[in-house]
Amino acid sequence: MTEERGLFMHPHIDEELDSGKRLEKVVDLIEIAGGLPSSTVLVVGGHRIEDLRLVESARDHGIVDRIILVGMKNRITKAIEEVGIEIDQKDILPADNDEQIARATVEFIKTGGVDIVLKGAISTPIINRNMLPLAIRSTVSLATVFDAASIAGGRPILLTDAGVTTVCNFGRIQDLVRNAVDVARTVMGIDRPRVALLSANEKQIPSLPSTWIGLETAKRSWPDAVVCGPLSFDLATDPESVSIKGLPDVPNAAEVAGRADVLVCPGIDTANTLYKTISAMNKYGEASLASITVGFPMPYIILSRSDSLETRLVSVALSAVYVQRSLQKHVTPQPAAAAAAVSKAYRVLAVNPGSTSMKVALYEGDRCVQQDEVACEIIVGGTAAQRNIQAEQLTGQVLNLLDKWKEENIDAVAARGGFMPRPAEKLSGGSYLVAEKCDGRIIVDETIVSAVRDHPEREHASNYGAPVAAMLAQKLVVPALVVDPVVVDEFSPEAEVSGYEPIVRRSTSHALSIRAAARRASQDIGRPLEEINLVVAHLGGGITVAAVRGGKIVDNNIALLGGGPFTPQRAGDLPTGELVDLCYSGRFTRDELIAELTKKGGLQSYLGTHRMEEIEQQIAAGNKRASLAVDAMVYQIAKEIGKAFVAAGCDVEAIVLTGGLTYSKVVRETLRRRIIRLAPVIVYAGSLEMAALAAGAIDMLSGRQTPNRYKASSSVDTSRNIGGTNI
Amino acid sequence: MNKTERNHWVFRAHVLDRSGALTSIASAFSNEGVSIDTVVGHGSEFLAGTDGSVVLTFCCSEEEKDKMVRKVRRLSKVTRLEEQPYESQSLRKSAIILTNRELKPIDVVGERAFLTSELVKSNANGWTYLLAGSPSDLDPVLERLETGGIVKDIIYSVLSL
Repeated sequence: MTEERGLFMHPHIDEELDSGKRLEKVVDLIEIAGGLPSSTVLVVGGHRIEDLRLVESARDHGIVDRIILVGMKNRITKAIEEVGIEIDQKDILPADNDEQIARATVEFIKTGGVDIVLKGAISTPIINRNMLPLAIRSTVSLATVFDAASIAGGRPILLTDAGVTTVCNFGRIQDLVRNAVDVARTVMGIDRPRVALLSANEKQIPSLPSTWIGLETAKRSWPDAVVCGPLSFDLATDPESVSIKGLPDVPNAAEVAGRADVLVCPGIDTANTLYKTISAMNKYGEASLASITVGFPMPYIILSRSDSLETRLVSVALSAVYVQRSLQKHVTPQPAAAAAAVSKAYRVLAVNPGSTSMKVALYEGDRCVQQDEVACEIIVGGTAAQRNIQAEQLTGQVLNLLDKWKEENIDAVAARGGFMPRPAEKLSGGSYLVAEKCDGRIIVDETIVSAVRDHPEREHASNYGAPVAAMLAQKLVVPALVVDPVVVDEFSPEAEVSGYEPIVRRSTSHALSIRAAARRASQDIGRPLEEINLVVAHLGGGITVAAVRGGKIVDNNIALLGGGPFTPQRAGDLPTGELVDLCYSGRFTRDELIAELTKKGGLQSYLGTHRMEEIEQQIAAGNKRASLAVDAMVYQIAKEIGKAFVAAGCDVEAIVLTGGLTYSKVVRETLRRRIIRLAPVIVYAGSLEMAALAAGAIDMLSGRQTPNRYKASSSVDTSRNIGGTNI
Repeated sequence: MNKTERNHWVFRAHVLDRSGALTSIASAFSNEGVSIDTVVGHGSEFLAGTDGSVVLTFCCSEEEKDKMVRKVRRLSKVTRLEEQPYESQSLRKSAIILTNRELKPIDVVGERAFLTSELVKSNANGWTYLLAGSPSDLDPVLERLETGGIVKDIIYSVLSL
């Protein structure tokens, strides 16, 4: 604690930098909402008398103009008659039970036109389960705005999260701050809210997670808020306590201590207890409060049965103010310069060769306008001449596809990078130039093409990416590049140490997918990739679980035979002793054993199939062996995520899951349950690779990024080539 | 006074922006399920955007009245609140009534005191009187006169502090 007893002052405590008018009292929201355009409210389970009286009262105040009721028609009609409320017949959406009511609600929301959703007489788990897929943020949270005569001089304060977020890990707390700041700015009229991360103590106590989560959160840059923590409740809200105790030695204490606008509680228990205390004060007439659930496309109001009528009405008003002011913000025209910057939609041909097929897609900006997967049999190995012939055949297939699509005017070609030999300096993530355009001519960088074609670190279909891109570049007279090759290596020094001196851990990963998912998560979270830490798991035929710190993949399981969880076809980590015995058992040659462990391992070895649809059918039919095998795979993936969580520094913003396996509901949901306590889980089902290839080329064309140039090592070690494998 | 017994109360709220204040005061009462009986605006004009005071009367228990005091005092547009029982002798109420006969002194005896009464005019329609006193004196007198069929019309009545 800094010794400033008696000296602490807030010279500018009343001087706000807010552009709009600051909310004075929570109940003023009723009048404010009445002065804004009216909203459409949908009541889920709309036959409860008190809900109808509430929305009618909101309509009387000019907050709401259209009321849509979803539920059992006869009960709704009876309730309407009893209350004497006027509802247009077309605004009654009939449904017979809670499941149908929830589904009808979600379908109607998807059509647009609903500003506020109010949960009425419907089972909370059922409606929440149906609503959750609509979430547009990684964390859905409850924000409560209150004023209480005995707290902070009765000025409004935002409290979060008293009702939704049950697990408050580091990433979730960041999301709670973001959601709360959004509401404070939009509804309370505070341009740069002062946020206090509550804890029982301001000092770092290892056994009290809220102290270090608070400190790490406060240390980050928050452009729209001043964040301070850890802070106890009195030091957050009471200037007199700060005067007596002195300023705590935590970031931004001078600005936030004693005058916080937002209180982020370390967990739902604290927040809920505070909420109920304020509720009790409300019933005594000493406080007002209103709540909003954010994270969906529109505010979602879940009221407690014990909430007062005032709380219920002000909650509708709070939601209306939030939605109407958000709409006003979104229709603000973009500056002309910004609009011009995005006007050029580059057309990129993306090529991703695999062992049995080649994916080809045409992107116009970030929109995929054409895509196809052409069958091809890529033969790995062979002489340089044979490889060249193979590359020419693949190039011909792509050009045929362009003819079939009747597509011209390509601006660039982007291909998947292969196992290019590792140069002396580690390969950083990003794009590598394959061909560039100079004075109307195409100049191919033969260093990268010949290195990956003739001396790859390992044989793999993706090694044809650069040669095919080079040939296409010459035919189409456009530049070409490869993006995030599998040998991208950004390992931290300690991650390189294997535990046996002659063996160095070198990264081999699904770098393209990992980095694309990380970039997208950073956009969705709303923070620069360089400022956040993530765990990203590519779950496909191969599995890479990576720790991404500040945009760099600092550690991952070596996806190719290097360990990690088993996959549908790969064995993953095996006990070393038994593996050595297997090597010397005489049952396999070297290549056969590699094929055995990469094609006949994993689920394939236990169940005789690696196809998840088939396995899910077996589980649904009660096959316990199938169930155990999938459980075990998920368990191993979760353990790997735990390792990456530590490698990322524990202050992980989110765990991102991507790849084809995430289409499996069994895998997705059981994995989510195992890891949810670590950090918020974001799922990007399917593959992001083709879009990532296009994005890499567009970054180059638009000048946002300069592609790297591959520098071959003076001596290429071809002895490490161990034959055909998949990644 | 029993805390749960229903009584008649008077609030005088000094407010900023009277029409806005009235909305929030009315909303506060409505949300607590307490009905406002009468509302009187004080000042030269009872217009939106003007500051002044609002007087209102309502019936509820003392406990509920105390809660309303706390709630109304916390409203952003209320700068000061005075509250009194309706029976308070410091309150004044006036009424102009039309009667079908001349009033006698016994007609204007209140619960605690005589009302002030003044004959304003008399004609073929009847006798017009101005009556004034505390509400607790005036209201029973008016009720008695009405019940007795003496009052033809209550032309105007106003509460003041």
